[in-house]
Amino acid sequence: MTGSLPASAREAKPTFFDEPALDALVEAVLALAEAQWVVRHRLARLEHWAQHAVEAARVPFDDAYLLPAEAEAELAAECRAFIDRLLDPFHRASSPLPPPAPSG
Amino acid sequence: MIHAVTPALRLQPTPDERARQTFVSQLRAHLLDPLAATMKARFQAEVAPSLPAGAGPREVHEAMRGHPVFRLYSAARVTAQDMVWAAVRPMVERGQVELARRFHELATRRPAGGTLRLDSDLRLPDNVTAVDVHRMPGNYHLDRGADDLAAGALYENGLAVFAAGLMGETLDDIGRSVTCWLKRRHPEFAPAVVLDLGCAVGHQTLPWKLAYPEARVMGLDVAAAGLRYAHARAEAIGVELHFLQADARRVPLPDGSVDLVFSAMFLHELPVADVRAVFAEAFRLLRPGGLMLHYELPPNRLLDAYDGFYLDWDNDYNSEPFYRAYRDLDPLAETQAAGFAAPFEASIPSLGWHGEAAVAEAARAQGAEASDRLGRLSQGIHWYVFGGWR
Repeated sequence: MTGSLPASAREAKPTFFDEPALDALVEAVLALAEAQWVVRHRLARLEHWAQHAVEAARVPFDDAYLLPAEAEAELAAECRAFIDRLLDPFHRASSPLPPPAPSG
Repeated sequence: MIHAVTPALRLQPTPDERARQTFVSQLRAHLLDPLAATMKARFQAEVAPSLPAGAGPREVHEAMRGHPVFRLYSAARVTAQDMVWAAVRPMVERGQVELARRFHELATRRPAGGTLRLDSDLRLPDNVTAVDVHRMPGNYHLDRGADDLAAGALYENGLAVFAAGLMGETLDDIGRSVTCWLKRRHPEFAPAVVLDLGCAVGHQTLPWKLAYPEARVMGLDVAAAGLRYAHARAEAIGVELHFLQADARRVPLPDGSVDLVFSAMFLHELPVADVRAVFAEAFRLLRPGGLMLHYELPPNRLLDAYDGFYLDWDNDYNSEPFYRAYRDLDPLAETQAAGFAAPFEASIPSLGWHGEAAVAEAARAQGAEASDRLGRLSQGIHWYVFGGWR
């Protein structure tokens, strides 16, 4: 069984902002954050490999190099902290101003 | 790192894909807990005071639409939902040939003795084919014939990312919690035949065989690729399960041939008329003294207006078109109307979060606890069940 699978849902993506560009912006920010995290993880793998390379003079390396479980757990905690920082502005988003009180 | 996928069917992500999956899972965890808590607090402080007395979930939704935290939460949650599937799809596409090989090997050897019965003539219900539920590309019924397991693999791998650890190490906390509760609530009840309706890949089917090893446990669904995956999964784990492709409204089993009809997160995928047809079919299938038991979303009666609105978010934004109408039903009244005796409901603490003692205590309680952790996927969840006796 081969062949590509559908890449997206048939339904249009819901939007939530009066200005549709803001929905696109949230999507872009999260995609960028995901990509940043993948690069961060890759850097951690490279650093770990480099440390071993120095210690052992010659170790095999390829794109599938994995981190030990302990380092993975530390990175997972770092990922949580990164997301906390990333979404912190979402928690603090200010409310719309209340409508003006009716004048007497 | 994602561990929850069945080991024998686990696909190998690249390290970058693994990092991506971890990110999406943690993003969802943040949205479902801290950001959801912030949204509720902001509602209570800034929106609730201006709501009229007696406002329900729909009024809360209207009032929250313009709130910036609701908009950011929702835009992020929809994006995260799409990211779930995107994070696992390349791995599933790469692994299709290997999955087909493993399925073929397991289905031929059948080490656990389970079976798979597919019906190529089955007409899939419109509510299944019309929507990509949960925005899963291709939907659960995607089937490209023969040895295709892709929809099942996409579902299990996606669910492992989606659940963010909230559904147990093996994604079967619902089934384990409910069976643990039932054995303590009704120790005299020992079903010989169990039927799980809308079983998907069998996550919540398998715990029934573990709880009642002598029982013949069957899983029913309309989706062939998911059932192939379910069969391979059960055989790989070494648990004898029997899977059947059929419509839950017209089950090809004789009258009075089942002791327990169960479902998990199935009824809310159906139009109301089909929910009632499923209840009628369960009544036909059950022997006198048999039990109909469903794990589902809690009804509005057990939630305040905000928590009802929060659960209904999926109806409007996550391709769950029957969610709200289902939740507007009273499950106890529906159970009684279908002819079942002594309808009941209960809230069951997640076994994984709260442990066996908490489940045992819940088995001694009457009724369902009304709380904001009931049926809401987040830390410390309680599962809502209801049912009745034949």
